[in-house]
Formats: sequence, structure tokens, C-alpha cells
Amino acid sequence: MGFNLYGAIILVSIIAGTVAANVLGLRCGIKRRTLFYTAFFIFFSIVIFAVTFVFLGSGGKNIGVSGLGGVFGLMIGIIFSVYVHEDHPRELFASWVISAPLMYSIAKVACMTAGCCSGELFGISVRIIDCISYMLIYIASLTLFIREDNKMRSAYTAMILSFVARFVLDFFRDSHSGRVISSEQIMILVAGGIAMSAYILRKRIPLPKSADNG
Amino acid sequence: MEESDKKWVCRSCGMENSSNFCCNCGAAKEQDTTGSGVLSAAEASLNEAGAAEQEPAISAVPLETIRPPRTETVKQPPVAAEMASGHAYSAPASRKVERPFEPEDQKAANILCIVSLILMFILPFICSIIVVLMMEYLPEDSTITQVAWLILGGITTFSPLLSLGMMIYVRVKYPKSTFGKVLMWLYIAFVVIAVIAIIVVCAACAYEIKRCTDAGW
Repeated sequence: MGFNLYGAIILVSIIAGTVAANVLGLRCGIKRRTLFYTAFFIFFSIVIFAVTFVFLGSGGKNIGVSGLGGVFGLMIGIIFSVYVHEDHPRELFASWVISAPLMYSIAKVACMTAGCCSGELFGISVRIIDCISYMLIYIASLTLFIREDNKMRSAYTAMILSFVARFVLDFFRDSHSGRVISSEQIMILVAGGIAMSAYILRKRIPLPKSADNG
Repeated sequence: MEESDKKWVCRSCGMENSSNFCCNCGAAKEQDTTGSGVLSAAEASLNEAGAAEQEPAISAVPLETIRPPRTETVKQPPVAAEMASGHAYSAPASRKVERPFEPEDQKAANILCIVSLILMFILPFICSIIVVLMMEYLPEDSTITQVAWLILGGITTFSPLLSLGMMIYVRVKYPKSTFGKVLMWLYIAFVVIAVIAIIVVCAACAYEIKRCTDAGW
């Protein structure tokens, strides 16, 4: 039953993020067909990458779900959808990126039921701090998305704050004890480096055409 | 000097005369109301200038009255302002004209759909067969077995995702492809059946475990 509750909460987190992203997408005028195919592809991308990260990381011995794998799958799905559909690409990208902290926040509730990702900070469980931090990041990014015309700013804010929170809070996890820097922090640094490089080189990256078919 | 000796210019032909009648056309000398009785040479030159001005007066009509009035074109609102606000890729462009679905497009769509089917069903099946054969004939601890296990496992998990991506690409780029539509509904049905199957299996396992624990085993 513990496994089932964990899986159910992970499923709820993905569904909640999908609904949140689609509501924002509808508000920005993205076509329903685009939203459907994007949600369809991203759902499977998150699940497959989350499972495969654990499978490959354990040398094929374990099967589980990895948060970082899920985020990687989410980014792959978003980039694919942005380039294939060419329908409000900035809004599509930003609406899904800012939904990632919401998904991660709800997934931390699953960690509380399963007992993974344990740790303490000033006597408070790191899982609770993770959950609250990412919910605050989501609220801040959502506010920027609604108020600003340039939706990419909310996406950059969500990414930067999420990277920083994940890196800093990893120091207080039990899995970090005895190490200066953990393997997950290294992966966060690599992912942050890739994102920063993409931002610096954004003018050289071929962007999708804006095909607003009305 | 007598009045008849004063020179005068005939109004009719412009001949200068000194008698009471014009020696050219015979017109009588006009009585001068001002008292001089004649048109002076200055007045004659003014008359001549007035007559000359009449000819270019026609050609001096401003061009605006002849040429059609210039119509002002209404400029479209500048795009720069929208680009500055970050809507460069969201500004409404001209309505996209639908391409006709040509035989080359149909061929490309069919090829992509066939590759998608291979990635979704055939490749994972082949990988599973290879894994079974490996476990049957190769030692579990060998490096080859472990590397092959990782590679085959990765292919089995990623190929369905690639397959879905190809199906979506066909539906977006070739929306009139019938094969693409059929493939889309096939995958949706497959996903629904798989989800139902997982829920049923999990529920059955949970029920059996609960039954076993309640029986005291």
C-alpha cells in the first residue's frame, strides 16, 4: 500500500502540473490540439526518463522513480513540443517550465509517505521545506507569468530559483552526509550549466517559427 | 500739335495710326474718355502683355487640379513595438495557407508511421527476445550480459517514446494523413488499455496480499 500511495501521489503531481500548464496555455491562446499532444508526450517523457534514470544509474539492478530524471524528461518533452507545433512557442515553454516546481512540490508529499529524501534543517524535515519552497517558487513564477508580457521571464525565474533551492537543500539531506558535493548536486550543476549556455547562446539557437494559425 | 496728329493704336488690329481711321482695318478712332483720345503705347504694350498672358494661363493650371489627388496609404502598426515586448514569436502572422496533401507528403507520412510502429511494438519485442535468450545461454555475472542488459533496457524504454514523438510529428506536419490518424487512435487505445491493465494488476496483487495476511500466513 505504501508503494501504491507513492505512485498515486506521483501520478497526481504530474496531472496537477499538466492541468496547470494547460490552463495557462489556453489563457495564452495556444490551440487545444497543441495542448493535447504536448500533455500526451510530456506525460510519457517524464515517466520514462524518471524510470530509466534509476534503471541506468543502478546498472540495471533497480527500478524506481527519480525526480531529476522526471525533470529531464519534462525538458525533453517541452523542447520537442515547442519545435514541432510552432504554436506560441514562448508561452508553451514558459507555462510548462513554471509548472515543474508545482509537480516537484506535490511529489515531495509522496516522499513523506515513502520515507525517501530524508534529512533535517533546524529540526524541520527537509521534505517539508522542499515542499514549501517549491510551492513558493511556483507561486512567484505564476505571478510573473500572469503579470508580465514577456512570459520567458517567469520561466527563467522558475529555473534559477529551482536550481538554487535544489542545490542548497541537498546539503541537508541524509544522503549528503560525509560528502562535500553529492552526485545529484553535480547533475544540478551540469543541468544549470547547460541551461545557462542555452540562455547565453539563445540568439544563435534556431528558434521555431511563430505559426499562429488563429 | 493737332489732335489728329496724335498717334493711336487700333484696338482691333493693334496698328499704330495717326488719322481718324485705322489704315489697316478701317476702324474708327475711339473717343478717349480720359481726354487724351488715344491709347498710349504703354497701354498698348499692357494690352499686348495681357493677350500674351492668356496663352500660358491655360498651361499654368496647377497640376493638382489635373492630376488625381494623391491617396495616402494607411500604414500597418509597427512590429518593433510588439517585438520589444517579447511577443516576437506570438504576434499574429498572416493566416497560414494549408498546403495540399501531395503524394510525396503521403509517402513521407506513411514511412514515418511505419517506423513509429516498428519502434513501438517490434523493436521492444525483439529486445525482449534477445534478453530471454541471453539469460538462457549467457552467464548472469558476465560483463557482456550486464552491458547488453543496460543497452536493451534503454532501447526498450526509449523506443516507445520516440514512436510517440514520430506519431505526433506526422499528425502536426501531415494532418491529412489517414495512416497518422489511425496510428494516433491506436496509441491512445493502447495507452488506455495499458493503464487499465496496470490498475487491475495492482489491485489484484493488493487484494491477494491482503487475503494472505488476513489468513495469517
